[in-house]
Amino acid sequence: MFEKFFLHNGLKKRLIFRRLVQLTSIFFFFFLLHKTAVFPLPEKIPVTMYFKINGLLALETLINSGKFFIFLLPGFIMILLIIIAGNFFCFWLCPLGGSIDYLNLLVFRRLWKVSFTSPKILRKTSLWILIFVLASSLSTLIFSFPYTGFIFDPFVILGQAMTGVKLWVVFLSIIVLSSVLFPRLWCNYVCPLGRFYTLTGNILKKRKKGE
Amino acid sequence: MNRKEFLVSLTAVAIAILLPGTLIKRFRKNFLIRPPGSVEEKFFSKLCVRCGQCIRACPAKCLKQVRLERSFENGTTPEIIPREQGCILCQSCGKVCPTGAIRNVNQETIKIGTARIYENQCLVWTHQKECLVCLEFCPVHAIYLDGQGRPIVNPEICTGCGLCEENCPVTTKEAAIRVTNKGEKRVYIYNGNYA
Repeated sequence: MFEKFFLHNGLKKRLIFRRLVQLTSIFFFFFLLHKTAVFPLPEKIPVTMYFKINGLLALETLINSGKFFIFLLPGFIMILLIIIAGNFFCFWLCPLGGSIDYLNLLVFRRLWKVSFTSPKILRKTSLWILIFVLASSLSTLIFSFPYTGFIFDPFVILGQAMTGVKLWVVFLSIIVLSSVLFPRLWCNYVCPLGRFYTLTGNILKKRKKGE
Repeated sequence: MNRKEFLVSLTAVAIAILLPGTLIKRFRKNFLIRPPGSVEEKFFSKLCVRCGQCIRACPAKCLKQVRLERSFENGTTPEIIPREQGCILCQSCGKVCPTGAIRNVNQETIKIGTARIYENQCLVWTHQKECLVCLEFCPVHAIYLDGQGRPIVNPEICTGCGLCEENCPVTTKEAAIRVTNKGEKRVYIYNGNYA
Protein backbone atom coordinates (compact mmCIF):
# COMPACT_ATOMS: atom_id res chain seq x y z
CA MET A 1 0.00 0.00 0.00
CA PHE A 2 2.90 2.25 0.86
CA GLU A 3 4.48 1.61 -2.54
CA LYS A 4 1.18 2.04 -4.35
CA PHE A 5 0.64 5.39 -2.71
CA PHE A 6 3.97 6.67 -3.95
CA LEU A 7 3.66 5.15 -7.44
CA HIS A 8 0.21 6.63 -7.73
CA ASN A 9 1.78 10.01 -7.23
CA GLY A 10 4.17 9.43 -10.10
CA LEU A 11 7.26 8.66 -8.06
CA LYS A 12 9.76 5.91 -8.86
CA LYS A 13 10.98 3.03 -6.70
CA ARG A 14 14.33 4.76 -6.32
CA LEU A 15 12.56 7.64 -4.68
CA ILE A 16 10.84 5.30 -2.25
CA PHE A 17 14.19 3.74 -1.39
CA ARG A 18 15.65 7.24 -0.94
CA ARG A 19 12.82 8.24 1.36
CA LEU A 20 13.43 5.13 3.48
CA VAL A 21 17.15 5.87 3.73
CA GLN A 22 16.33 9.48 4.63
CA LEU A 23 13.88 8.35 7.30
CA THR A 24 16.48 5.99 8.78
CA SER A 25 19.06 8.78 8.76
CA ILE A 26 16.69 11.24 10.48
CA PHE A 27 15.79 8.69 13.16
CA PHE A 28 19.44 7.78 13.66
CA PHE A 29 20.44 11.46 13.98
CA PHE A 30 17.79 12.20 16.60
CA PHE A 31 18.50 8.90 18.36
CA LEU A 32 22.16 9.93 18.67
CA LEU A 33 21.14 13.39 19.85
CA HIS A 34 18.94 11.77 22.48
CA LYS A 35 21.78 9.46 23.55
CA THR A 36 24.11 12.46 23.96
CA ALA A 37 21.94 13.70 26.80
CA VAL A 38 21.95 10.36 28.61
CA PHE A 39 24.26 9.88 31.58
CA PRO A 40 26.47 7.87 31.68
CA LEU A 41 27.22 8.18 27.98
CA PRO A 42 26.98 4.93 26.01
CA GLU A 43 30.53 3.78 25.25
CA LYS A 44 29.79 1.81 22.08
CA ILE A 45 27.57 4.30 20.25
CA PRO A 46 29.34 7.11 18.34
CA VAL A 47 27.03 9.83 19.65
CA THR A 48 28.59 12.69 17.67
CA MET A 49 29.05 10.73 14.46
CA TYR A 50 27.13 13.21 12.31
CA PHE A 51 29.33 16.08 13.45
CA LYS A 52 32.48 14.07 12.83
CA ILE A 53 31.55 13.14 9.25
CA ASN A 54 30.80 16.76 8.42
CA GLY A 55 33.43 17.51 5.77
CA LEU A 56 33.02 21.27 5.83
CA LEU A 57 33.36 21.47 9.63
CA ALA A 58 36.50 19.32 9.38
CA LEU A 59 37.93 21.61 6.69
CA GLU A 60 37.04 24.73 8.68
CA THR A 61 38.68 23.33 11.82
CA LEU A 62 41.79 22.46 9.81
CA ILE A 63 41.98 26.02 8.44
CA ASN A 64 41.09 27.60 11.81
CA SER A 65 43.80 25.83 13.75
CA GLY A 66 46.34 25.33 10.97
CA LYS A 67 46.91 21.82 12.29
CA PHE A 68 45.62 18.37 11.40
CA PHE A 69 44.02 16.36 14.18
CA ILE A 70 43.00 12.71 14.10
CA PHE A 71 39.46 13.86 15.04
CA LEU A 72 39.11 15.43 11.59
CA LEU A 73 39.83 12.21 9.70
CA PRO A 74 36.16 11.03 9.34
CA GLY A 75 35.27 14.40 7.81
CA PHE A 76 38.01 14.12 5.22
CA ILE A 77 37.08 10.50 4.44
CA MET A 78 33.55 11.80 3.78
CA ILE A 79 34.92 14.43 1.38
CA LEU A 80 36.91 11.69 -0.40
CA LEU A 81 33.80 9.51 -0.70
CA ILE A 82 31.85 12.42 -2.14
CA ILE A 83 34.61 13.15 -4.68
CA ILE A 84 34.44 9.50 -5.78
CA ALA A 85 30.68 8.90 -5.66
CA GLY A 86 29.26 12.40 -6.16
CA ASN A 87 27.07 14.31 -3.72
CA PHE A 88 25.03 11.51 -2.15
CA PHE A 89 24.81 13.26 1.19
CA CYS A 90 22.20 16.00 0.62
CA PHE A 91 19.40 13.88 -0.82
CA TRP A 92 20.10 10.65 1.03
CA LEU A 93 21.65 11.27 4.43
CA CYS A 94 21.18 14.90 5.49
CA PRO A 95 18.80 14.95 8.48
CA LEU A 96 17.80 18.57 7.92
CA GLY A 97 17.09 18.11 4.22
CA GLY A 98 15.29 14.86 5.00
CA SER A 99 13.15 16.49 7.66
CA ILE A 100 12.22 19.27 5.22
CA ASP A 101 11.31 16.68 2.54
CA TYR A 102 9.16 14.73 4.98
CA LEU A 103 7.45 17.88 6.18
CA ASN A 104 6.67 18.70 2.55
CA LEU A 105 5.10 15.26 2.23
CA LEU A 106 3.13 15.67 5.43
CA VAL A 107 1.58 18.98 4.37
CA PHE A 108 0.97 17.63 0.81
CA ARG A 109 3.13 20.37 -0.67
CA ARG A 110 2.87 18.80 -4.16
CA LEU A 111 -0.88 19.38 -4.19
CA TRP A 112 -0.58 23.10 -3.45
CA LYS A 113 0.31 23.80 -7.12
CA VAL A 114 2.29 26.87 -6.12
CA SER A 115 5.48 27.03 -8.15
CA PHE A 116 8.54 28.92 -7.05
CA THR A 117 10.94 30.31 -9.60
CA SER A 118 14.05 31.58 -7.95
CA PRO A 119 15.41 35.01 -8.84
CA LYS A 120 18.84 34.96 -10.49
CA ILE A 121 20.51 36.72 -7.56
CA LEU A 122 19.53 33.89 -5.22
CA ARG A 123 21.18 31.18 -7.30
CA LYS A 124 24.71 31.97 -6.15
CA THR A 125 23.85 32.84 -2.53
CA SER A 126 25.05 29.52 -1.14
CA LEU A 127 28.36 29.95 -2.98
CA TRP A 128 28.83 33.36 -1.39
CA ILE A 129 27.96 31.91 2.00
CA LEU A 130 30.50 29.10 1.45
CA ILE A 131 33.13 31.72 0.55
CA PHE A 132 32.19 33.68 3.69
CA VAL A 133 32.52 30.54 5.83
CA LEU A 134 35.97 29.70 4.44
CA ALA A 135 37.08 33.36 4.63
CA SER A 136 35.95 33.43 8.25
CA SER A 137 38.15 30.41 8.97
CA LEU A 138 41.10 32.02 7.19
CA SER A 139 40.68 35.26 9.16
CA THR A 140 40.57 33.19 12.36
CA LEU A 141 43.86 31.57 11.40
CA ILE A 142 45.64 34.74 10.28
CA PHE A 143 44.17 37.49 12.49
CA SER A 144 42.79 35.33 15.35
CA PHE A 145 39.39 36.76 14.52
CA PRO A 146 36.23 35.28 16.08
CA TYR A 147 35.16 32.22 14.13
CA THR A 148 31.71 32.80 12.67
CA GLY A 149 31.49 30.15 9.95
CA PHE A 150 29.53 27.75 12.17
CA ILE A 151 26.37 29.89 11.95
CA PHE A 152 25.29 28.35 8.65
CA ASP A 153 26.18 24.74 9.36
CA PRO A 154 23.04 22.54 9.30
CA PHE A 155 24.28 20.17 12.03
CA VAL A 156 25.24 23.02 14.32
CA ILE A 157 21.80 24.58 13.79
CA LEU A 158 20.05 21.28 14.48
CA GLY A 159 22.25 20.42 17.46
CA GLN A 160 21.96 23.86 19.05
CA ALA A 161 18.21 24.02 18.47
CA MET A 162 17.79 20.62 20.12
CA THR A 163 19.79 21.91 23.10
CA GLY A 164 16.96 24.41 23.52
CA VAL A 165 18.74 27.70 22.82
CA LYS A 166 15.89 30.02 21.81
CA LEU A 167 17.75 31.91 19.08
CA TRP A 168 18.71 28.69 17.32
CA VAL A 169 15.19 27.27 17.69
CA VAL A 170 13.84 30.38 15.94
CA PHE A 171 16.52 30.06 13.24
CA LEU A 172 15.66 26.40 12.65
CA SER A 173 11.93 27.17 12.55
CA ILE A 174 12.51 29.88 9.92
CA ILE A 175 14.60 27.46 7.83
CA VAL A 176 12.05 24.65 8.01
CA LEU A 177 8.97 26.82 7.44
CA SER A 178 10.52 28.78 4.56
CA SER A 179 11.61 25.50 2.98
CA VAL A 180 8.06 24.23 3.09
CA LEU A 181 6.74 27.37 1.41
CA PHE A 182 9.55 27.36 -1.18
CA PRO A 183 10.70 23.73 -1.61
CA ARG A 184 14.23 23.14 -0.27
CA LEU A 185 14.93 26.87 -0.17
CA TRP A 186 17.60 26.32 2.50
CA CYS A 187 19.30 23.44 0.68
CA ASN A 188 19.38 25.08 -2.73
CA TYR A 189 20.15 28.67 -1.87
CA VAL A 190 21.71 28.93 1.59
CA CYS A 191 23.33 25.71 2.89
CA PRO A 192 27.13 26.03 2.54
CA LEU A 193 27.62 22.34 3.33
CA GLY A 194 25.38 21.35 0.43
CA ARG A 195 27.20 23.70 -1.95
CA PHE A 196 30.57 22.39 -0.74
CA TYR A 197 29.54 18.77 -1.31
CA THR A 198 28.09 19.64 -4.72
CA LEU A 199 31.33 21.34 -5.74
CA THR A 200 33.52 18.49 -4.51
CA GLY A 201 31.13 15.90 -5.94
CA ASN A 202 31.39 17.50 -9.37
CA ILE A 203 35.21 17.39 -9.52
CA LEU A 204 35.40 13.91 -11.06
CA LYS A 205 32.25 14.38 -13.12
CA LYS A 206 33.67 17.43 -14.86
CA ARG A 207 36.92 15.64 -15.54
CA LYS A 208 35.01 12.78 -17.20
CA LYS A 209 33.04 15.25 -19.29
CA GLY A 210 36.24 16.96 -20.36
CA GLU A 211 37.73 13.67 -21.53
CA MET B 1 39.71 59.04 -7.17
CA ASN B 2 41.29 56.57 -9.56
CA ARG B 3 41.40 52.83 -9.17
CA LYS B 4 44.82 52.74 -7.47
CA GLU B 5 43.84 55.32 -4.86
CA PHE B 6 40.60 53.47 -4.23
CA LEU B 7 42.41 50.18 -3.61
CA VAL B 8 44.98 51.84 -1.32
CA SER B 9 42.27 53.54 0.73
CA LEU B 10 40.31 50.28 0.91
CA THR B 11 43.40 48.47 2.23
CA ALA B 12 44.01 51.24 4.77
CA VAL B 13 40.43 51.01 6.04
CA ALA B 14 40.71 47.22 6.28
CA ILE B 15 43.94 47.49 8.32
CA ALA B 16 42.41 50.17 10.52
CA ILE B 17 39.50 47.89 11.29
CA LEU B 18 41.46 44.66 11.69
CA LEU B 19 44.50 45.83 13.66
CA PRO B 20 42.88 47.23 16.84
CA GLY B 21 40.78 44.11 17.29
CA THR B 22 43.85 41.91 16.97
CA LEU B 23 45.85 44.04 19.40
CA ILE B 24 43.04 44.22 21.97
CA LYS B 25 42.73 40.43 21.85
CA ARG B 26 46.46 39.99 22.45
CA PHE B 27 46.41 42.00 25.67
CA ARG B 28 43.02 41.02 27.07
CA LYS B 29 43.19 38.33 29.71
CA ASN B 30 40.89 35.36 29.38
CA PHE B 31 38.48 35.09 32.32
CA LEU B 32 36.27 32.20 31.24
CA ILE B 33 36.20 28.95 33.17
CA ARG B 34 36.35 26.22 30.55
CA PRO B 35 35.19 22.60 30.93
CA PRO B 36 37.69 20.08 32.30
CA GLY B 37 40.09 18.76 29.65
CA SER B 38 39.84 21.84 27.42
CA VAL B 39 42.75 22.55 25.11
CA GLU B 40 44.77 25.73 25.53
CA GLU B 41 42.74 28.88 24.94
CA LYS B 42 44.38 29.97 21.68
CA PHE B 43 43.26 26.67 20.13
CA PHE B 44 40.01 26.28 22.03
CA SER B 45 38.10 29.04 20.23
CA LYS B 46 39.48 27.74 16.93
CA LEU B 47 38.73 24.07 17.45
CA CYS B 48 35.31 24.57 19.04
CA VAL B 49 32.68 24.50 16.28
CA ARG B 50 29.89 25.58 18.67
CA CYS B 51 27.90 22.39 18.07
CA GLY B 52 26.57 22.52 21.64
CA GLN B 53 27.00 18.79 22.22
CA CYS B 54 29.03 19.30 25.41
CA ILE B 55 26.26 21.49 26.83
CA ARG B 56 23.74 18.84 25.90
CA ALA B 57 25.79 16.02 27.39
CA CYS B 58 26.51 17.77 30.71
CA PRO B 59 24.49 15.85 33.36
CA ALA B 60 24.91 18.61 35.95
CA LYS B 61 23.83 21.30 33.44
CA CYS B 62 26.80 23.40 34.51
CA LEU B 63 27.96 24.20 30.99
CA LYS B 64 26.51 27.37 29.53
CA GLN B 65 27.02 29.15 26.26
CA VAL B 66 29.20 32.24 26.56
CA ARG B 67 26.96 35.24 25.97
CA LEU B 68 28.15 37.66 23.32
CA GLU B 69 28.18 40.58 25.77
CA ARG B 70 30.49 38.63 28.07
CA SER B 71 33.03 37.77 25.39
CA PHE B 72 32.29 38.47 21.75
CA GLU B 73 35.13 36.40 20.31
CA ASN B 74 34.18 33.39 22.44
CA GLY B 75 30.44 33.74 21.91
CA THR B 76 28.43 30.47 22.11
CA THR B 77 31.45 28.42 23.26
CA PRO B 78 30.98 26.48 26.53
CA GLU B 79 31.87 27.92 29.91
CA ILE B 80 31.15 27.13 33.54
CA ILE B 81 29.46 29.74 35.72
CA PRO B 82 30.01 28.24 39.19
CA ARG B 83 27.49 30.48 40.96
CA GLU B 84 24.74 29.01 38.79
CA GLN B 85 25.96 25.41 38.78
CA GLY B 86 29.19 23.72 39.77
CA CYS B 87 30.96 21.06 37.72
CA ILE B 88 30.93 17.41 38.86
CA LEU B 89 34.06 16.65 36.78
CA CYS B 90 32.43 13.68 35.02
CA GLN B 91 34.09 14.58 31.68
CA SER B 92 31.01 13.77 29.61
CA CYS B 93 31.79 16.92 27.61
CA GLY B 94 35.18 15.50 26.64
CA LYS B 95 33.60 12.29 25.41
CA VAL B 96 31.23 14.00 22.98
CA CYS B 97 33.37 16.83 21.59
CA PRO B 98 33.63 16.06 17.84
CA THR B 99 36.67 18.24 17.13
CA GLY B 100 38.80 17.53 20.18
CA ALA B 101 38.50 20.99 21.74
CA ILE B 102 37.65 19.20 24.98
CA ARG B 103 39.60 16.02 25.73
CA ASN B 104 39.35 13.27 28.28
CA VAL B 105 42.14 13.63 30.79
CA ASN B 106 43.26 11.79 33.89
CA GLN B 107 40.74 12.53 36.64
CA GLU B 108 43.52 13.31 39.11
CA THR B 109 45.08 15.98 36.92
CA ILE B 110 41.88 18.02 36.41
CA LYS B 111 42.11 21.65 37.46
CA ILE B 112 39.77 24.18 35.87
CA GLY B 113 40.42 27.01 38.30
CA THR B 114 40.94 27.91 41.92
CA ALA B 115 38.52 29.01 44.62
CA ARG B 116 39.22 32.06 46.77
CA ILE B 117 37.43 33.14 49.94
CA TYR B 118 36.44 36.81 50.21
CA GLU B 119 36.72 37.27 53.95
CA ASN B 120 34.69 40.49 54.05
CA GLN B 121 31.62 38.59 52.75
CA CYS B 122 32.11 35.22 54.46
CA LEU B 123 29.71 34.56 57.34
CA VAL B 124 32.38 32.80 59.40
CA TRP B 125 35.11 35.37 58.83
CA THR B 126 33.01 38.51 59.39
CA HIS B 127 30.08 37.44 61.61
CA GLN B 128 31.65 34.45 63.35
CA LYS B 129 28.64 32.32 62.40
CA GLU B 130 28.70 28.58 62.10
CA CYS B 131 28.66 28.11 58.33
CA LEU B 132 30.85 25.51 56.74
CA VAL B 133 28.81 24.79 53.60
CA CYS B 134 31.82 25.19 51.30
CA LEU B 135 33.81 22.74 53.39
CA GLU B 136 31.01 20.18 53.24
CA PHE B 137 30.47 20.45 49.51
CA CYS B 138 34.14 20.33 48.47
CA PRO B 139 34.61 16.91 46.80
CA VAL B 140 38.42 16.96 47.11
CA HIS B 141 38.67 18.35 50.65
CA ALA B 142 40.60 21.40 49.50
CA ILE B 143 39.00 23.57 52.20
CA TYR B 144 40.23 23.24 55.76
CA LEU B 145 39.75 25.20 58.99
CA ASP B 146 42.30 27.39 60.66
CA GLY B 147 42.81 27.52 64.42
CA GLN B 148 39.75 29.73 64.90
CA GLY B 149 37.43 27.55 62.81
CA ARG B 150 37.51 29.75 59.72
CA PRO B 151 37.58 28.15 56.23
CA ILE B 152 40.76 28.40 54.12
CA VAL B 153 41.28 27.11 50.58
CA ASN B 154 44.30 25.01 49.70
CA PRO B 155 44.92 26.16 46.09
CA GLU B 156 47.08 23.15 45.31
CA ILE B 157 44.30 20.65 45.97
CA CYS B 158 41.38 22.79 44.73
CA THR B 159 40.11 21.67 41.28
CA GLY B 160 37.96 24.75 40.72
CA CYS B 161 34.77 22.71 40.30
CA GLY B 162 32.74 25.52 41.84
CA LEU B 163 30.43 23.42 44.02
CA CYS B 164 31.45 25.61 46.98
CA GLU B 165 30.51 28.79 45.10
CA GLU B 166 27.22 27.31 43.91
CA ASN B 167 26.17 26.37 47.43
CA CYS B 168 27.53 29.39 49.29
CA PRO B 169 24.57 30.64 51.39
CA VAL B 170 25.51 34.33 51.13
CA THR B 171 22.47 35.91 49.53
CA THR B 172 24.29 38.47 47.41
CA LYS B 173 24.78 37.91 43.71
CA GLU B 174 28.47 37.20 44.25
CA ALA B 175 29.31 34.37 46.65
CA ALA B 176 31.76 34.70 49.53
CA ILE B 177 33.85 32.01 47.88
CA ARG B 178 34.50 32.54 44.20
CA VAL B 179 36.21 30.46 41.55
CA THR B 180 38.40 31.98 38.84
CA ASN B 181 40.35 30.22 36.12
CA LYS B 182 43.61 31.06 37.89
CA GLY B 183 45.94 28.08 37.97
CA GLU B 184 43.88 26.07 35.46
CA LYS B 185 45.51 23.14 33.69
CA ARG B 186 44.88 22.90 29.96
CA VAL B 187 45.71 20.30 27.35
CA TYR B 188 48.55 21.66 25.25
CA ILE B 189 48.96 21.06 21.55
CA TYR B 190 52.27 20.55 19.78
CA ASN B 191 52.16 20.11 16.00
CA GLY B 192 48.71 18.58 16.02
CA ASN B 193 49.43 16.23 18.93
CA TYR B 194 48.05 16.54 22.44
CA ALA B 195 50.47 16.83 25.33
